[in-house]
This record gives sequence, C-alpha cells and structure tokens, in this order.
Amino acid sequence: MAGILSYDFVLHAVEAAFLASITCGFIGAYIVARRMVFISGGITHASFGGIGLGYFLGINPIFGAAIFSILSAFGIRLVSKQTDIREDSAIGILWSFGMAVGIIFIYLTPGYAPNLMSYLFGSILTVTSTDLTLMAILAAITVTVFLLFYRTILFISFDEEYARSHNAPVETFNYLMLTLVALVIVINIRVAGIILVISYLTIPQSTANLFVNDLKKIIILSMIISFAGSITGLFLSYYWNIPSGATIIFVFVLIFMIARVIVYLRNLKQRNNSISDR
Amino acid sequence: MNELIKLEHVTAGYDNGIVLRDVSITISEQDFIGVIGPNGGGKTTLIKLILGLIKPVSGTIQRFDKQEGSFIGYLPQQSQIDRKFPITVQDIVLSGLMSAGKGLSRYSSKDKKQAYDLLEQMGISHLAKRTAGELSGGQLQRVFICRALISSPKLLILDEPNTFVDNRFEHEMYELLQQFNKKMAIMIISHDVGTISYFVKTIACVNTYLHYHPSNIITEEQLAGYNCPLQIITHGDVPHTVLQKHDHSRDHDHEHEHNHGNAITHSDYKHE
Repeated sequence: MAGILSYDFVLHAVEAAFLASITCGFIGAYIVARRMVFISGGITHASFGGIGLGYFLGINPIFGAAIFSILSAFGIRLVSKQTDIREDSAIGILWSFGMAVGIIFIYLTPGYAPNLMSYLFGSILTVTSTDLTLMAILAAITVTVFLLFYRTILFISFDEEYARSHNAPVETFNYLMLTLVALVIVINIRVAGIILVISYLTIPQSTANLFVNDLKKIIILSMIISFAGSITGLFLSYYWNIPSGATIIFVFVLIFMIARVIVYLRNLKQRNNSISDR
Repeated sequence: MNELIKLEHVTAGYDNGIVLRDVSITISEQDFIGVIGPNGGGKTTLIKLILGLIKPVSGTIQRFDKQEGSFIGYLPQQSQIDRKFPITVQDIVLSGLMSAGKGLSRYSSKDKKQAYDLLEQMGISHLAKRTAGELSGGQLQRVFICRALISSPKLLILDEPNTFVDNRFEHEMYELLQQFNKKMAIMIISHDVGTISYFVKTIACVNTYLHYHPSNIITEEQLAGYNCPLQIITHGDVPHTVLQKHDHSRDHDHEHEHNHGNAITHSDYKHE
C-alpha cells in the first residue's frame, strides 16, 4: 500500500478522487434532489463540442468544454422556458448536437488528438497539477456557496413557487446553481470521462439516500461513499491493470447494491418484529 | 377595518389568453373569503396575482403591507410538491421565514422554537425530524399550514386545502382556520362550496369575472340582480348555498350552457 503511494501519479489520483468527491457530493445531491439527472447528462455530452473546439484551436480542451457546458445548460433552460419545446426534447437536441460538433472539430484538427480517450472514458491516473488546481478552486467555490446559501438553495429547490412568493431570488439562484453544475461536470470529466461522469453525480447520492433523507446528510454521506469507492476502485484497477474510471463506477454500483440489500433486510426484520409484537 | 390588498379592474392571463377580466376585490383584516368557481375559471390566477407571482395585464394591485416579505402566508396545492424531496419537516416550516434578504443568516434558536411550537399546536411536533415523504397527506398539510403561519402573516391563502386530507382533519382544519381568523384575514379556494360556505364570511365567485357576495349564504332573491355559476351541495346540516349562473355574454343563447367544473353543478333558474 505504502509502495504505490510513493508514485506521484497515484498521489495525484487520490487527491483528484478527494476533490471530485467534494464537488460531486454537493452538486450530485442537488441534481438528484431536483430530479436534474437527465439535464446533467445533456450538459455532460454537449460539452464534448467544447473539447473538440479546444483541440481545434489548440487550447486546453477543458476550457472549451466549460464554455459549451454552461451555454448548453442555459440554452436548455431558456429554450424550454421561452418556447414550446419541451425540456427533455431540448436536452436531447443539445446532447447530440454537442457530440456532433466535437466529432467534426476533432476530424478537422490536423494530426491526432492526444488524450481524446481520457476525455471520453476518464483517466484519474493522468490528472495534471493544473487539473488539480482547477478542481481545488472549484471545490472551494462550491463549499463556499453551500455554506453561505444552503437554506436558500434547499428552500428554492423544494418549492420554487413558494420561494418566489417570498421574493427569494429564485432565478439568480437557479442560474448560479446551473453554472456550478456545468463546471463541476466539466472539471470531473478528467476523472471519470464524459461517458461516466454522471455516475459520480448520481450513484453515491442514491446510495446515501437509501439511509438518510435530509439533503445535508445526503451530501455528507455521498462524499464519504464517493471517496471510499474511488480509492477502492483506483487500487483494484491498479492491481488488476484494468481502466480506472470503469472500475470506480463498478465499485460504486457494487456499494449501491450491497446497501440496497442491507436496507431490504433491515426493513424485513423490522416488519417481522412489528408483526411478532402484536 | 384596515384594508390589506386592493385589486382594481385587474385583467390578467398568460401567453395563451386572458384568464381574468376586470376583477376588483378588496381584502381587509378579519375577512374570511371563500373563492369558488369552475376549473380553469381563474381561481389560481387570482391567487398568483395576490402573491405577486404574475403581473396584471391592466389594472392595479395595491398591497398595504408594512412588514417584510411575510405579509402573506400561502398554502399551495399539494400536487405541486415533490414529496420525495429530501427535506425535514422542521426545515419546511422554517422555509416560511425565507425572504429576499435572508440568504446569509442562519435561523436562530428562537425561530426553531417557534417552528416547534407551531408543530406542537398542530399535534405533530414528534414528526419534526421526519422528511416529507414519510408523512401522510393530512400530516403534510399541517406542516404546510405551519409554514404559512410561522411568519405571522396578515393574510392566509389556502389553495384547495381539502384535496389530500381525510374528512376528520378537514373538519379540524376548518375549526383551526376560524381560530386563526381572529388574527388574520383568510382566503380559501375550494371546489367544495357546500362545506366552505358554512365557515367563510363572504364568497368570491371567479369565472373569468369575479362576483363578490358579501355574505356566505346567498339566497335566490339576493341573486336577482346577477348570476353566478353555482351549485347545490347537500351535506346533512350544512346550509345550502345556491348561486346562479353569471351571464356576462348578455347573449341569451348562452344561458343554458353549463360551465362544468368538478363537483360543481350549476343552477340555471334565471330567464327561463
């Protein structure tokens, strides 16, 4: 154990897993509570257009992805609010459009696209110190926003119309949170990849939700599950020499299934007890 | 009595058309107004106007509120709530204190005490740490009443409060409302006119236009001057309220056209 921690890239991976667990703990709990999983999937895939643009222009693809993800998040909101296009249809359109734009840009870029596979499937073992700095900054912003505005976020998410009737800044917060969702998705693409990043935002939160029912507790418990699952997956992938992103998600689902069985058995026992009490 | 809210010649609607026309109504302290009318007649739009959620197309709305943000307590229809949302009962009640400037501050122990006391008063303080999904419809309704009351509002608005509750609590709720009415004006939307007419002081009949009946019992004679789409519901000892059909079209061909809402039967005695 101590042996592999002496490698820099492994330390980086552990740090990345820690920061991903922080940002995804907050934002994933928000997404799951507000039933925004599908829109998050759309934002994730639309950001591939930005990655392609980044390659084409020769800039860091993460910046291109950030722009695309924020624009698509706002785009989905505005289109479904202002026009008669329904939200899930708008998501479907931007989801595939972003992917298409990405493919075209990458095709047009001369030479080959380095690390393309790592953007698609994630590569926690190759995160750079730049990636880690960006992740740390975003984690700090996310923590600050939730510490300062937790109740406002909770109340607006629970009952938007009621919040509006109390003059709460509903729209401002919706867009602030949408921006955070987009940025957290993009920054964690480096860890889990476009195809798998949604897992970090949903599986640990759904697992936590099996045991606790308060947003605050879901956030904290999902962070712990997320970090434990990431580290377990990381080491399994290291020893078995299989892809890290996929292994982490596999571990997440395994934890979820074990948790579900535990809850099922516990409920069964309670039911039996209450029957024998009578 | 002091006036709280005054709507004058208000017309309002959405992108797909006008829902309310030329509505004037004044809500004063101690009022207990029952709002009735068919589905799609504009009852909920009227509430949204009063809450400031939508702006009128024309006309004026004056609010004579001196307190901040919490002037109106509002109990929405339960169907608009995501019952699986991870939030505790205590937090739902405290959310009634939310206002524009209160994002940063934490709730004081005094606020929490007040939330607890309200839950206690409703007989559900033992549920404070539970989450919305664990409660029955009636329990959740009490929680929402607590949320509406925690800001000590001058006006309490209830939108179809009897939809998800059992009969026993429904009766209890009306008794509670009569107590609250000593301290605040109440406006209640309901399909079940037969029941609410027993409790309310006045009735507003909303069907695109608003007709205000300054009494809870409306006789045919009183209706001689105008028509109100209405119904006859008989529940044992509850007094009947018979309101007749409004005739805004001034077109006698439309007289026999029934504006059906759920559970509303219209009487069509006039001009026969």
